[in-house]
Amino acid sequence: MRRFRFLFLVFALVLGWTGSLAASGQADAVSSSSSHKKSSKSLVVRDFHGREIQLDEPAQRVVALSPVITETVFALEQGNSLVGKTEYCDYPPEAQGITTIGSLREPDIEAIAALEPDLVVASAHFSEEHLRQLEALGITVAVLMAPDSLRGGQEAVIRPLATLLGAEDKAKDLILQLNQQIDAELEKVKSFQFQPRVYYVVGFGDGGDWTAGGDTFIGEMIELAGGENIAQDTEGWSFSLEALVARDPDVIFIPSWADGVFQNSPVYSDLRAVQSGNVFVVDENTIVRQGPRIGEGLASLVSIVAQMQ
Amino acid sequence: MRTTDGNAMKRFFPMVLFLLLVAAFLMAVAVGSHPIPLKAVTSILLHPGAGEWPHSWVQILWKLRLPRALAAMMVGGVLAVGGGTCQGLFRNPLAEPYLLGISSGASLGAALAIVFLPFGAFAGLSVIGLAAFLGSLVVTVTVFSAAGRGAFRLPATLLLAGIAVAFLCQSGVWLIMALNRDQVERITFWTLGSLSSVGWSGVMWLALITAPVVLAQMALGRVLDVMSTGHDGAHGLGLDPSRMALILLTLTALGTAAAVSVAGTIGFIGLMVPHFLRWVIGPAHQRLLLSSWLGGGILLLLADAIARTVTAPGEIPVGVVTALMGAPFLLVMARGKQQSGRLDG
Repeated sequence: MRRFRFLFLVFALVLGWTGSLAASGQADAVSSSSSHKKSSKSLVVRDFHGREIQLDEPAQRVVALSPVITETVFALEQGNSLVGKTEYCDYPPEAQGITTIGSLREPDIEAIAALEPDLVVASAHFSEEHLRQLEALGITVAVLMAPDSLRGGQEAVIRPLATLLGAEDKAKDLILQLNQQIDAELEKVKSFQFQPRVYYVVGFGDGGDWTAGGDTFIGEMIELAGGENIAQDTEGWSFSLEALVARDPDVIFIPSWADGVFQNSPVYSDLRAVQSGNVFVVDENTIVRQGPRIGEGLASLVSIVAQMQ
Repeated sequence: MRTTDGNAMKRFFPMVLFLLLVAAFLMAVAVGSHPIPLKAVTSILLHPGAGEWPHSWVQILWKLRLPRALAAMMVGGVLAVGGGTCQGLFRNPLAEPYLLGISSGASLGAALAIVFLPFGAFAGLSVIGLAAFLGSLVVTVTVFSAAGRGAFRLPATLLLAGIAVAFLCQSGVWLIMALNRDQVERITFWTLGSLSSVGWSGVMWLALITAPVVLAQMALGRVLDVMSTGHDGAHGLGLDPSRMALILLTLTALGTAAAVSVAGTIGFIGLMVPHFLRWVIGPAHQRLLLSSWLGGGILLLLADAIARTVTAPGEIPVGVVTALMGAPFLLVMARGKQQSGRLDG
């Protein structure tokens, strides 16, 4: 049923679009050819869903519905145009003063509309219903999501967002820098002699043991940073304390909330990595958000692996 | 099964269950996500200090599998005994230990702790477990006092009060989840039940509470026999049925709360085990409750062994396994009963 409604919506949109083309005739046809110099060049990108997003001029009032979008807007030095963000958008610190429009999964559509944005940019965890609601209000929405890969965010998020914000030159610099940083880190990894066995804590204790399996992006990052993920043979996030004890890793990555608690919990405290002080806090956000800080995230993992050499 | 030979069988049935429990326990200790040869298992368990096997194997057996298996046995046992008590008391095959809102009270306590005090321990028990324990007891007292003293003469009042309070607590849990979306997973997985983090302190805590509770319930088996035939019979024997019901339900609540505080709200065991055993060995409660303890232990040991190994090195929530094992079983049994024309065992 929902799918039919969506198809109907697409159908209606296409009809409307072709209709407006026919009605406005030449003028529209001219401005849509991007090479034309006379009229203001329209900004067109294709988003994650393959939808074509078009703006006549760079967005001035932007609402970011994901931390990675907020981070990227600031990295593109367009923080001034950001008028709304989610409660999870905690980086950079300047983002804190911006109006919050709800959570990642439950953005408040009314609050967004009240901000009168000319562009809403969403990423992962953004539902089709919310997309429909916003579009019904006549708000332009782009969904920009990176594939799970080290450099995937560059073309999927940074570049299209820069186009919509009119910051393409800055994007070029940013991507260049990012690639230099990534290349430098990968170069370091090549010189490593020892590949430490790594365990990455996603959850532990009462709620069971959770880690990043071999098919996850975090798992891939561990391998790229020169570590050997002890959960490489698992898929998804489930693990067990027994397997952790049996595989007794050389080094353990933990999120900041677990620091101190993990090392002092029974059984975990007996792990070799804990005993030898090889437990390191990793800022997960630099890795999983796959934004402009991904190089930083990789560097933090590489520096820990380097210490193990 | 209901012939005269059946009587001898019924008498020996707890013995058979006991042997099965021992077998299930040994099996639970022998299997896990990490393969340890049987020879090493026995040698490590008999001579833990010998040092001829890898240190991690000793850790796994003594710090993980052994306490976990003991906990599974006691949790399964106390839940099944609680279910048997409730089914007898309410004269209803659908009764179970979570009936009085205990599980939703525990969930509310756990959810509050997960959001506000996610770490920390007290007397070797996690704050989340303690909050769940307190949650179940608070709910039980609330239900008892809300229903009023007369309620113990009329179980329906008690059940209604239990349902009302359960809904209240559940809405509290949903509210907490809605306001803390980042904790939804933790709360959900807690609710599904798991024995993954049970250590020796959890085992001691379980033993301290559930052993006296279970023994007291078995000792009151005769009283339960009378109560389950109706309150008139109880009056005739000079028993105060309201008082007996209060005592039996308080014991059930206490045992269930202890189980839930360690393992989360593992479903189906308290419903299925006593229900099945009542069908096999009849309604004499002393024997029924003893068998239920054994049967509940066996079932949870098996379910947890499956939960630990089937997706190794990962785990699945043990509550999922008990429900998967239990539901078809109950369906088959309900069908059998329909044919034999009796539904109350």
